[in-house]
Amino acid sequence: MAIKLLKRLVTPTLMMGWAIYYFIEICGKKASAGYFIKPIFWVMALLYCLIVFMDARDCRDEAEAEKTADSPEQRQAGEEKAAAQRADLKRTAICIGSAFAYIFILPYLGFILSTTLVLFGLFWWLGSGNKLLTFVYAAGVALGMYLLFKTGLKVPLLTGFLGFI
Amino acid sequence: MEIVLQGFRTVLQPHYLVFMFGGVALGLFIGFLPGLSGGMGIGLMLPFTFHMEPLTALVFLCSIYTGGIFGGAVTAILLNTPGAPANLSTVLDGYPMARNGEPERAMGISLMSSTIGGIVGTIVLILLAGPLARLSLKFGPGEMFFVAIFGLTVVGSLADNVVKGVFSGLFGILLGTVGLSAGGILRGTMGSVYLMDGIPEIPALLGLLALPAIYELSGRKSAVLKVDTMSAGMASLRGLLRGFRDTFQRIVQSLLCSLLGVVVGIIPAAGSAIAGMLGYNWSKNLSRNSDKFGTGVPEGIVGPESANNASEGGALATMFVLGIPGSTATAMMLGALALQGWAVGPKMFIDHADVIYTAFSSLFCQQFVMLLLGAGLCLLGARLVKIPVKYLMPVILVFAITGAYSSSYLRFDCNLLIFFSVLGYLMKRSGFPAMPMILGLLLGGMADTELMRIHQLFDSFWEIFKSPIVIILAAVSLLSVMLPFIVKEVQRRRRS
Repeated sequence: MAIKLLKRLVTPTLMMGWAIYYFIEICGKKASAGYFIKPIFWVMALLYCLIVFMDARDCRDEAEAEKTADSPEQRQAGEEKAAAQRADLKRTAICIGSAFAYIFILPYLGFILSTTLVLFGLFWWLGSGNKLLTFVYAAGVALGMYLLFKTGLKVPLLTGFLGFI
Repeated sequence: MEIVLQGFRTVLQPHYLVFMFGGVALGLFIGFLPGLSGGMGIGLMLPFTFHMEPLTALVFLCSIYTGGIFGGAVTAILLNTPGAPANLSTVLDGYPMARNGEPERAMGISLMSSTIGGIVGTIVLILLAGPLARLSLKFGPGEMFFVAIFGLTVVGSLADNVVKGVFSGLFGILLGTVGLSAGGILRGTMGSVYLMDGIPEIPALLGLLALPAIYELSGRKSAVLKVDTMSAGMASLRGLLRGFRDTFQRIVQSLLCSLLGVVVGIIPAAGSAIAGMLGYNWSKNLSRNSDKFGTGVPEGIVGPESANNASEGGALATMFVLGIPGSTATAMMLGALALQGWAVGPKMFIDHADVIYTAFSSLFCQQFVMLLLGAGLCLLGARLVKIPVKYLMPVILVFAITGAYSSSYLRFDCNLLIFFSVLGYLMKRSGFPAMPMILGLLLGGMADTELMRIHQLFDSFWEIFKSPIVIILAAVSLLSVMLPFIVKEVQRRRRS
């Protein structure tokens, strides 16, 4: 139950943690910096306490319901839900990792090469079959986007070691 | 009246029609791209207008503006990615309706509501531009503070769990105050010079709404849950027409939300995002289906889409009469007029009344051009969601990152996008709605600045209540908070 509660409280605690850091910073500045921020912070702190209380109550109720749920179907449903959550987390981690890698390599490889590589990787991961065709699709989309943003919309896209793409 | 009719005769000439079609098409296309808005389209075309005659330039830029707002609604509905802040609240019911297999219907509702909103906004602009804009001159810091508070009253009604919704909204407000304050104090930047101007809206918006939806998309085979078995073209057209019919069945709601949008639009810096949010909130509070909002109900699209397009007329009234830009797009337009050597303000209505009223007439005609070209974009967009996810998802991801980069050409914005996407994902998993947080982010800075000005200009905060506008705005804000409870109570009593 405690682990479940901690998991639930990760997001509001992160938000509250930043709010505390911000509040402390504001307290060290001129009074006018906190006219609006300070009351907002206190209401937020109050709501955080309420969220902790509500989540603790929900976790307790769920734990009690689990204790009474003895049937194999219910257990199987619970396991399936947990497996789906794990798969979702893995997929999201891959997506975030790809996005981060893309942003990281952009200034080194330039827009066209980076976009082609990332698109190819993601197309392939999501089940696109023929590798050559997948690469052609990826390169085509990258080139199309380059023409749209660089030539059409005059966006100064990042250029890599080749200096022009 | 004669000057308006003369304006219609002028803009219906082929020369202006070409620029109207071109401008609306460009606005629709740019608005359709995640992260890019009509404002950017206007900025992009600004240098070209230097060589145009003033009226052509004005018609062309207004057309881009008109197309830009609706273009953003298409991606909001199809991909949970608002093309611009104006389309934020369209996501709430547009995306669930599209996911339920009715993307064409959702887009049809949005298109017809946008057209009605645009027409109402233009009529108000033609008839009442002067008096309305002069009213906005009476807005001081007290009034502006309550405009922001009025916008923020929506946060509670944007979530099923009110406590989590308000918590999320307050967090957004704090984020909205990051950067250099009106008093010159640097707050919460963590030493980053890129945050001195505050947290950029586009990466935050795309990160909190679009990217978590894209991550979710990677686990599915199709972007829509139910795919129509009818032939694609016929199904799309039928869906679109059904959307039109749905809007006409809610014509009163559409007209009322349009009027609300115009009023919000004339207030400097209030903008179409607040208009859309308020349109959604009031529709939800006053609708019989209020408990079904967020599941894909037509009323949830009609309200915000009518209001955000109607706000365009109000914003233009303030810009033309007072020379105060209410948004990036109107600021760009002001720049275009300056390039032509025109000083925007009350004198412009005396010196160039013919050109101004012809531009207003063109705005009216542009709504019909938008209806025509927008229908084409909807039919094209409906095909987009039927592309297999294995190709669709990576392309949208790269588009979102490039869109975030394009807003200020900084890699920092891309990193911020990823940060907000992680936060958005965690919030989604924990049941914290992202929408109140975005609203807080958009309005927090404004409320903070105005409160600081109140402290500088008045001896006591309560002095602002000497203004009747402040009292009205405070009463409306209070009503906005109380209305859901009052409506629920009335419904409960009726049932019992």
